[in-house]
Amino acid sequence: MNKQINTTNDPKKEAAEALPGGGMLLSSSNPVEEDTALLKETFKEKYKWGFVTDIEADSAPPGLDESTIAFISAKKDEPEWLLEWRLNAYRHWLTMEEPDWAHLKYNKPNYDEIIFYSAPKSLADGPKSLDEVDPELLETYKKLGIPLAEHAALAGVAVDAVFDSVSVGTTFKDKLEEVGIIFCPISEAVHSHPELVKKYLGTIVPYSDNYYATLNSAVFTDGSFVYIPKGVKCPMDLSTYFRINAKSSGQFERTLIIAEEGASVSYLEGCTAPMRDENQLHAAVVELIALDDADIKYSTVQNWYPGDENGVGGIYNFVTKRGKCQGDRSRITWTQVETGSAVTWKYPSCILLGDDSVGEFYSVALTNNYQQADTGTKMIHIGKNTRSTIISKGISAGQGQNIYRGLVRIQKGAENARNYTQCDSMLMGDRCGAHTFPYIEVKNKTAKAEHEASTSKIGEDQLFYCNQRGISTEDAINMIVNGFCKEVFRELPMEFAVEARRLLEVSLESSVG
Amino acid sequence: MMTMNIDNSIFKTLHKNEAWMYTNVSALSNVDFSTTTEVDFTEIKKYDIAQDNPFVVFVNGAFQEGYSRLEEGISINSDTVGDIGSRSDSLIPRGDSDTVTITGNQNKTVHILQIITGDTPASCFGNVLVHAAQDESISLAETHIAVTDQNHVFMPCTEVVAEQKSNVTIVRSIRGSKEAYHLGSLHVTQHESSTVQTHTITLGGKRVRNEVYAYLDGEHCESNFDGMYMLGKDQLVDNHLRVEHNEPNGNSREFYKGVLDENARSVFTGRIYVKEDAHQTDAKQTNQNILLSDDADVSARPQLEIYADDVLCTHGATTGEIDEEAMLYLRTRGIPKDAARTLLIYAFLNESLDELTDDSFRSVLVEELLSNLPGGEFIRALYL
Amino acid sequence: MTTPLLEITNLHANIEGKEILKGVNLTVMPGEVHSIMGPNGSGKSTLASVIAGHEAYEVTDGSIRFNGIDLLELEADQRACAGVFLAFQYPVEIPGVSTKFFLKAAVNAIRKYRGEEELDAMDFLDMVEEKAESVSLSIDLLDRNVNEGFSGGEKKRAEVFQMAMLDPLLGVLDETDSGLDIDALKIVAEGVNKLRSKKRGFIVITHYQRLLDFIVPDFVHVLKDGVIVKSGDKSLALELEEKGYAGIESCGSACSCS
Repeated sequence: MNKQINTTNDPKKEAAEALPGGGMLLSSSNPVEEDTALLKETFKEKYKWGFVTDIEADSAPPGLDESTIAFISAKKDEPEWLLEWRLNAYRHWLTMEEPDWAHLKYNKPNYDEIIFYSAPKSLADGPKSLDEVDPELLETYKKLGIPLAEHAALAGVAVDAVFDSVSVGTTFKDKLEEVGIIFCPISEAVHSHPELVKKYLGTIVPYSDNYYATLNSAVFTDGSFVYIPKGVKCPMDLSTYFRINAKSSGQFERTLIIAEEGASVSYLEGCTAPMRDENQLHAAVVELIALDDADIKYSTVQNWYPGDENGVGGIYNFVTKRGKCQGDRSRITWTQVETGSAVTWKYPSCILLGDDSVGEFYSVALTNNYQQADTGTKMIHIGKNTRSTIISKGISAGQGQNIYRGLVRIQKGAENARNYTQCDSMLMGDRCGAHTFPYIEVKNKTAKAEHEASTSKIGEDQLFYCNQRGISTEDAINMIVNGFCKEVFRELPMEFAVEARRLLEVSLESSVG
Repeated sequence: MMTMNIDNSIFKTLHKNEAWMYTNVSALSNVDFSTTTEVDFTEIKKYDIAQDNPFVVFVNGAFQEGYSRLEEGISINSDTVGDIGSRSDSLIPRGDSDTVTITGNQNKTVHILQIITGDTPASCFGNVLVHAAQDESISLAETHIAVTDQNHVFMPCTEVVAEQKSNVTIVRSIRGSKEAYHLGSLHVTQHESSTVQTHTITLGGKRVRNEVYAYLDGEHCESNFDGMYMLGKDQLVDNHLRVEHNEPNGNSREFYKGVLDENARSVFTGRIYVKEDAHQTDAKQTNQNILLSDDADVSARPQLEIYADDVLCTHGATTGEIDEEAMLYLRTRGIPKDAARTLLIYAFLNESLDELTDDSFRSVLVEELLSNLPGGEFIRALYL
Repeated sequence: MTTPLLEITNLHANIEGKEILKGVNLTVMPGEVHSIMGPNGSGKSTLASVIAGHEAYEVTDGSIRFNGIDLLELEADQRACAGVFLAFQYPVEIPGVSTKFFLKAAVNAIRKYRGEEELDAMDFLDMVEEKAESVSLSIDLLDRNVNEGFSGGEKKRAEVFQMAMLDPLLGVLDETDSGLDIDALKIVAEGVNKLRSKKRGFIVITHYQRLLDFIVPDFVHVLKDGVIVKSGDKSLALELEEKGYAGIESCGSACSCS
């Protein structure tokens, strides 16, 4: 008998499927070893050329090459080592391919058309008064309960008055300095605290980590730097009072937070007000480091422009966030409420290195209209008695696609490690999707990992019951959705939680008939 | 005489696919399957578990008419592979081989024995087509067993078509040598109100890939896909499932559980896919593991992909040690720690075997489980 | 003089760092039935768990001697073999383990400890039938998994049935009456009464006097905030029923409640 094999392999298909989640699993791809002589030659030339670039220009020309990077670095008057670091990142980026393992469909950005640096817009370019602002936007501000005084600033109206918040901000800055806390733009920290930036930048998210993080490393514009000295409990939630300033942080934001032994800090990022931005691609990087007994709580409310109800426009939010519980008994908590952006690709993660360290991830992600979100977390248990909790709530409405993707890895030495994961999805309407793709890897027999997921919808009977008790359908839906998200909201600082709740209501409006 | 021309280069790169990321069978690409060996047929009788039932025997991939008992509705076709398994995106190589076709009512479990023996590596495909017409009921048991410790490879591919209101049960057991490779797939298409259950029991093999693809193409389908494994040494099992709910009112259950000792590894990937408008789908998927050794490990990917809102879908995965409360209860009744642990492990696994309705197959599997289970002697003594 | 069956002296026990038992003294002689009553949270169930050897509880002081041996030295299964039986308030369900299987393992472990021959299948089944009948437990239940799908009453009867099977020296009944209606209570009490003997002692933990109408105790103790505050005969139970726990006056430091 003569037998033949027919394989069904289609090489193209295979390439397309190559390591989707796999890419996510590998925390860093190949180190940069290549660098051909040719590349170096090219670099030298451009580098030289880079220095003659007019740094007085307001913006870099579209596209990315080494001169653009030199331009950005020169604009910020950066030290040589940082420029080198950026260039290393850029050279590595050239060798990478944009990942396509996420469950997302979108047109990849054209990197040749992106302007990677432009000076903050002058106030004179904006609308002259609130009358010129889109009334729909103002209506949304009202619904969200944003103080009237802030409307103009959020909408980019040119006003001369100094806002309360700015002076409030200054006052708090003094107070922080008193206890030794450093809280400033990272571009400033590069100059004022170079030893700290140099010591920690890129240690949690190496410049070679992934396509977007590598791009960010090459071109990041600004972001926050926070340093909490040994034993200091930060006396206030950071950044609550800086809502308006946050707007200019740019599309390639880079944040670095260091909590020394026994320090603790709660950091709030983003704002509930809808953010309009002409930049389609946002690729931020956030790095957190917690030493022994330190505690970092990082809360995000993300409401970038999601595109219109037909799925036109909207932000691509491709973010790398990672924290390292380096010290024993340290704790990092990520809490996120994601309602904005057309496409979200985001996995705030924890490396649990210290014994008895704790990682937590609480997430609410809402996708309405044509929004897509592929988001989740990675919990890497290395130390003994490490614990992690993952609570993810996905809400899909309209044609929205909501994906939870998470990795729980318990390494061999992680004795008695514990993980509990709960992923719940709620679907509203029958044209949306809810997907759950967990990866669970356990290599220690004393460890316990538990994963549960469920999918539900708002029941007709629940709505009827509420209606019968006099509650409108809209209120009933809000009530049920809020109940669904309760476990996450209670992790948010109080004021933020109230805003987040309103934000969900606004984002869900008109999604249910 | 059999020769098998396998283009084994395919095995080299399989693990580069997301679907195979935890399972590396590249060692197979260096194996020479071309040598033929003399076959010892005396082994066959030993594996004829149910002697009153239809029996179809293949040795090293070749049909053994003299040892088989074909009854009405069972035929062997050597001419075509047909489209068996073609609907899925399985990457397991498929090849020409005799195809066993099973039709009509088969209430006595049809036993297909795929046995590989000999002192040189051998490979075999096993193509099976199960076609249950309306209201018919078919029960099939497949035994895949390597009797010599060689790099043998099994690549069985079974396709099930369950027409309206039909009922199909398949028990696939992977037994024998802990050196063989088993890369098998089951492809199930269900029509309205049909019921299909599969049980995949893995006790033997070095690298075992069990794929199940199920397409619920009619309303009111009932599907149960279960699996059990007890592994030691450097054994690896990779249970890989995709269950597609394409029509409303389907019920599916996937329940895989296992115990890993020594350097054994378990991989589980299960995707429940619910198509738009497949409302009232009720799908549930669970993977449970217990690790007994410091060197065993588990990877689980229970996945949901859902495009309809009026559905009930859940999945869960647990990995851990034995329930401490149950341990205490047993110990307050005087049962020593080790015995209590063995008892609970056995109970954990035996729950799957209890689902098997055919006693003769169940008792053979219980026996093989007990011989794989550390402390299995103690359990054997408890049987009344 | 006879050796006490159980002698608890100044027992202190913690769970998760919280002290629950704060110096319990109690002596049970062979053949005696002691009832322990007390309000919720007084430590009744903790006492039962500590006697049985629950690992979550830490004994910080005091001793428990059982039939002349130091009970605290033994692990839970060794205590069971030595003759301590705890009828749980909430018997755990064990999926996959058939009750018969489980009982055979237990009976043989205890027989082995006592230096007796293991029972063969026939003798074992005869014993099962006989004992099950004594608590009107349907034999069919024993084909099910341990406590799985049992009703509340069936679980309690199954506990007493197991006690009969394992033939302990000391039976500790932890709120065996909770959740039972009067008929079920009678059946359970009858089962227990059949097991009373000169050699065997009982500790009957209960919240209500009702059970003691059927299992008549020789002594009644009131446990409050981790210590026995009053002891007496069965009339104490009636007094409690009437006045409630708040109305009970402690016998004070002079109390010889033990």
